[in-house]
Amino acid sequence: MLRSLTGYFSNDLAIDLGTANTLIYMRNKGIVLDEPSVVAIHNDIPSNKKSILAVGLEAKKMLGRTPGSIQAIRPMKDGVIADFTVTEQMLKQFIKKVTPNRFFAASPRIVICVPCGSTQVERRAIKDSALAAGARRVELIEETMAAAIGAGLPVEEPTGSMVVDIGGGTTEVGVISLGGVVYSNSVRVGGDKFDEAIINYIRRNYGMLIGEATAEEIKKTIGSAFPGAEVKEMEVKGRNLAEGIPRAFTVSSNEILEALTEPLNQIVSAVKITLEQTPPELGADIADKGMVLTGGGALLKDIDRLLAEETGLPVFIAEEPLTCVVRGSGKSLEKMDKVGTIFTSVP
Amino acid sequence: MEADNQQQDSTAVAIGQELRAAREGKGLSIGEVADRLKLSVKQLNAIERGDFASLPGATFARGFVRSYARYMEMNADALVARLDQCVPLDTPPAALVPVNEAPAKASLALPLSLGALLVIAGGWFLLPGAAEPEVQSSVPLALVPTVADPDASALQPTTSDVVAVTPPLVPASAPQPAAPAVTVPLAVAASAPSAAAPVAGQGRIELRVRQEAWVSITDADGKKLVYATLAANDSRQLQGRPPFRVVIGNAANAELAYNGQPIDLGSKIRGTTAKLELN
Repeated sequence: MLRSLTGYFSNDLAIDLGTANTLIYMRNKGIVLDEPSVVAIHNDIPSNKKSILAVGLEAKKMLGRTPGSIQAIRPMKDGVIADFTVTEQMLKQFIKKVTPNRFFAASPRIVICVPCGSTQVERRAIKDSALAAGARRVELIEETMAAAIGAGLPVEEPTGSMVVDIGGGTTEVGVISLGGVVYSNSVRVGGDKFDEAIINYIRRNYGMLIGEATAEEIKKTIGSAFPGAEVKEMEVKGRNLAEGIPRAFTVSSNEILEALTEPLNQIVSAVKITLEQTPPELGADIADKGMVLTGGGALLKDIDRLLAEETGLPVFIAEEPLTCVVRGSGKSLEKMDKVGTIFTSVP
Repeated sequence: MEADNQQQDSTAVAIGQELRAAREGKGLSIGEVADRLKLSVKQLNAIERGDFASLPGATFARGFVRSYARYMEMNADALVARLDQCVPLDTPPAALVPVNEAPAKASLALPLSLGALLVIAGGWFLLPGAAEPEVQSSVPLALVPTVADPDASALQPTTSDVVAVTPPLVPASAPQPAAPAVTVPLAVAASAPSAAAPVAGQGRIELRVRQEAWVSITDADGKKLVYATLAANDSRQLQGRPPFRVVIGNAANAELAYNGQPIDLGSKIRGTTAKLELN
């Protein structure tokens, strides 16, 4: 009785706490927040007091451009919490941003997605930091399940659906049937690893050092996963390692493709392993319907082509792949009172 | 209903034909496309016939059409948008909704008025003799907006729940020659000094939309002043007899002013739609 009453006043939230971006979905409202998972911390040296300077988009602009007294941190790494206190503060700020100041506001119930490869300790950490950020109750949902619901796959039907969610820190591959994950596989390769591969490639072949933001820009502009008909070029600025002076140089899409080969191969092998482990009946369904790509990595040019060529299965990209996971968690939130099966067990 | 189905079918067939024409324009056989997209020839034939029902489901049909259109270098988004009519998804993908950061004053109005009601009700039960004078003293409070006090008229839109009693009072005071000038806010009187008609109980609404929005505004006589979808950056100026009933879809991108006073739509938005009454 009391629970249903407080439920009326609280704003239930679904959070996709990603390595690159955090998205929040509010029940009956839709997606209310979409910001980078970055926190800028100001460290007052004389008093040694730390305070939060900026969170989200504002803090992302500071990444790699901070003086000694400011630290811009990405508290999530490989899909899990790397810095507990900072994550908690970030969540607190984000939740505060989306919950209007209400007189009788009750603390919200929250659904958070976790990578299916995360350990019990990592799940516990995510749950605890959400509770510390002011949640009344926290449910965890596996990212593959959330992505499949968000992509509009028939998860509750007795038919196999395959989803590949390429996030910032992890790639999750899952086969889902009857509202449950039949098999899932997670590799710690994602958008960040792509950026890293580009940085390493350019350092090795050009003797130039570029930052993460520049690498991301290169990936978005000329990056591709499969050789295309046209070769695109882009001018990039970085620091020459030999001279120590900033210089401009040109990279082509073929070179970036070469740089990305290694992380892309890891994703392909994760997909192949999953297909090998899938029960034959579900495999037959997947052969008919193919797999769905979600997450920011699905925006990499021709990644669907690469997976289609490697597996020989139809591959298509979900609509609005960046928001699939949070929309899926949001839909599960609406069902929260009725079902518990789609949520993962919590330690 | 039947005509609806026929129209859906014709859209589906048209989409199939467009894809087929694009394929033939590139000189590709259906086998070559099947090889590239890893779809079966049967499934591709179904798409080109516009027979989306034989595909595994709405999500997949849309995904296949999107891949096919991208391979044909057509505008995939536009094609899928048209596909919405014949193969609708159960829920459309949500866009980013701005959170209404409602001012504390407006959000407190409901709990405070509830609290006030409780106090009055409590007083009624405990002191039956004292209850009557209290109710009488609250009546002048409700009448505050009829006095030509700029602060009071500014409060009017935000506390519309409380002062919903006032509109009937305006026509009642209209026959007296001096009264209308007092009740009508200053902005209207200043802007229409020559016309005598708009002064008596007329209200002026200015509306501007930054993005396409559906708008309905009806006046006290039930006359529809606007009942249409406004294009982006469209604006309207309307006059009529209050109270007005206003419904705005996509309200987060609309600006509303009543008698020169901007109205805060933020606190009225439910979903994306704002419904409010202007007195």
